[in-house]
Amino acid sequence: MWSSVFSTLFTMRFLQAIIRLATPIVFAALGAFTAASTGIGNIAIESIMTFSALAGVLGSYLFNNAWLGVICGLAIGILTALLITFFSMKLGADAFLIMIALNTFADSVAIFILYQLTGDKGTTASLATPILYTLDIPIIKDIPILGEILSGQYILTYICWLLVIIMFIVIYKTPLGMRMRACGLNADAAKTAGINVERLQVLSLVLSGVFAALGGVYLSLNYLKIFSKGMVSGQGWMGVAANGISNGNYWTLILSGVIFAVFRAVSIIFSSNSAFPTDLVGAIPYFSVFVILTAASIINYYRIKRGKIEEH
Amino acid sequence: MKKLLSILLVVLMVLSLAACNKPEPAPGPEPTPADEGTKIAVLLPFTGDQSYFDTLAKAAKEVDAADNNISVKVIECDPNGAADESNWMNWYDNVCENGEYDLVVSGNGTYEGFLYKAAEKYPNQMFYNFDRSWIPEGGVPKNVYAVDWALDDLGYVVGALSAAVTKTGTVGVVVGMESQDMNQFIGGYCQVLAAQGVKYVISYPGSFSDTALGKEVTEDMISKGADVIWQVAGGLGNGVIDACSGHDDVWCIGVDQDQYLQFKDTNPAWANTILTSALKNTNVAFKAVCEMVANGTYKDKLGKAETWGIALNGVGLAENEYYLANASEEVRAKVAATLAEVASGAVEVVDTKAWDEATYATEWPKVRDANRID
Repeated sequence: MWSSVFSTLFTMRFLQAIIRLATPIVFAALGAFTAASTGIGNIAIESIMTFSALAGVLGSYLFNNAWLGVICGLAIGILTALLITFFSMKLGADAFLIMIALNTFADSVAIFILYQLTGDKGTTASLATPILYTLDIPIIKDIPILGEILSGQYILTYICWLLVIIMFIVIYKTPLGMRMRACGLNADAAKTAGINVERLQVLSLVLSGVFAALGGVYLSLNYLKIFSKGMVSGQGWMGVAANGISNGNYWTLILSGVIFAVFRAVSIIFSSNSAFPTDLVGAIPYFSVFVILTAASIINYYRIKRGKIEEH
Repeated sequence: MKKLLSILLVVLMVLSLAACNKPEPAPGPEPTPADEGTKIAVLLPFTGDQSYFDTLAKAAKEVDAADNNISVKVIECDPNGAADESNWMNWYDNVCENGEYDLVVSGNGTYEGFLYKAAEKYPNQMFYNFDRSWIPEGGVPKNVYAVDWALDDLGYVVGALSAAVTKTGTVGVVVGMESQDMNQFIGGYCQVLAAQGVKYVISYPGSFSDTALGKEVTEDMISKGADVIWQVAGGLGNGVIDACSGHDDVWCIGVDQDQYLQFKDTNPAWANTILTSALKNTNVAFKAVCEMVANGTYKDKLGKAETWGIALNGVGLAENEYYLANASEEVRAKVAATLAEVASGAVEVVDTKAWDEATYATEWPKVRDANRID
């Protein structure tokens, strides 16, 4: 049993699988983090991913162009984010309740729309959809080991990691990012300092919607070639969990997202292993969320105890 | 702002009312009662499973549309698959109370308990259980005909086909979840492969919907040398097909319906990786049952439990033009021989569904791991 597990663990294709699997989770994590930076927890990531995955395929089919499909997906992501802000900020509803409602009906609404448009309740198999491509980077692809990792990935994977760097700069190195974080730390104080808190919160939710949408269209237009019922399968929630673990630390966030992908990849190895109880395979990624969250809070507890960080 | 809010609320209320009204059977004026030909009600939890609910719903539509004096109504009564008893019994009351329908159709392990209950409550109503997992203690009720499918034989044939097609000597199967029922698909598969000395990989990803996982699981299998991969995993199977389509020398085998035909027009890359599909012809049996109800012979079937196998075309391989073009003469001859062999009962195919729990616990790992590679 273990020999076959280890022989797979340290191979190039295991690494490549992690990169493929990490993309949607990191997108989701970026979405959750951006919203949380201004003090609004966005737990609707999962539903936005579902909507955008469907909208992406439909758009791509409609305009016969995958990139226009991506734009449709993004539009739906932004629209959903605006819907949340409209209900929570203009109408004074509890943002969390709105998001829970969204998550509850996301799958069914997606299927409803799918059925109305295609007559199929399971997939968009009946639509001939152009999809996005993988990217071979010239020169780099010929470097032995590095080339296999850095080249030939899905195009949205590159965009994902580019956004990871851009968001780091925006949130930590620009006045806009400072203001956003100020809202998150203490909205009242930020308001006193003359920051338009509400506007920044809307902006952060919209950005959050964009990231979640990218995660969705990655699944349906790039990584796979179809929208299929329930395809997001908790990857949005893993992003939300990564944000919970990060406790406001950006690189912890990205690392947690990647660790979830590692556990998903591990569950793949175990799924075909005769000695591992198959009932537990599906639980591995979620169990890892539990373990990592526990570990994170233990570490945090001791850091607070030693006075390294303040409790808040 | 208040105005806007009230308008929104009104819109919401109207929408929710509309949503509530939708699934009610026959709203408005009743169509002329009785003796308007044969009327059949099909109670499915939902459609869109990309499996035999869809096959059955499609068959129902076809029977309904055909000029045969049979009308079929498909009711989706449990969209979330909650298997809530009061909801289901309510639907049974709706369709059975007036004796409006000649036949009421439902099935599947999760929901058939409600069918048996309804059969007891409405002894004069005829029922058809299209996918039997179990039988109530006193045997099949006197007003029910319950069928199941020779999935063990089907798996055996798929195994024989895989063995005939593989060039690497390794094949694979992706099964959504491991359970005694699901393993009925692959008992015969493992048996025939082990007998022919072909290695196989079995993966149980633990989901029927996580398409991404399906793709990665298959990539993993292909890297282990598998070049004929069968998927028995619902929506997750789309990921399996996608992964296979990325490798020129890997075949995929579909499940339940003819998946080559499903993708032929819209997604040729996928269609061209699907050599054939393992069919569970719920539609064939359903159409036969409809006919029997119409001509009055259905009464002979009541109280019986039957298995639809290869001989009745209850299960089989999709022999479409793509299969005929791509499977060699030799392969097809082997498959035909296997089909005949199984149909005649010359081989004893492993059937996990026939085992009790204790036998399953001890015997299954032996069958499963006979020639399996990790």
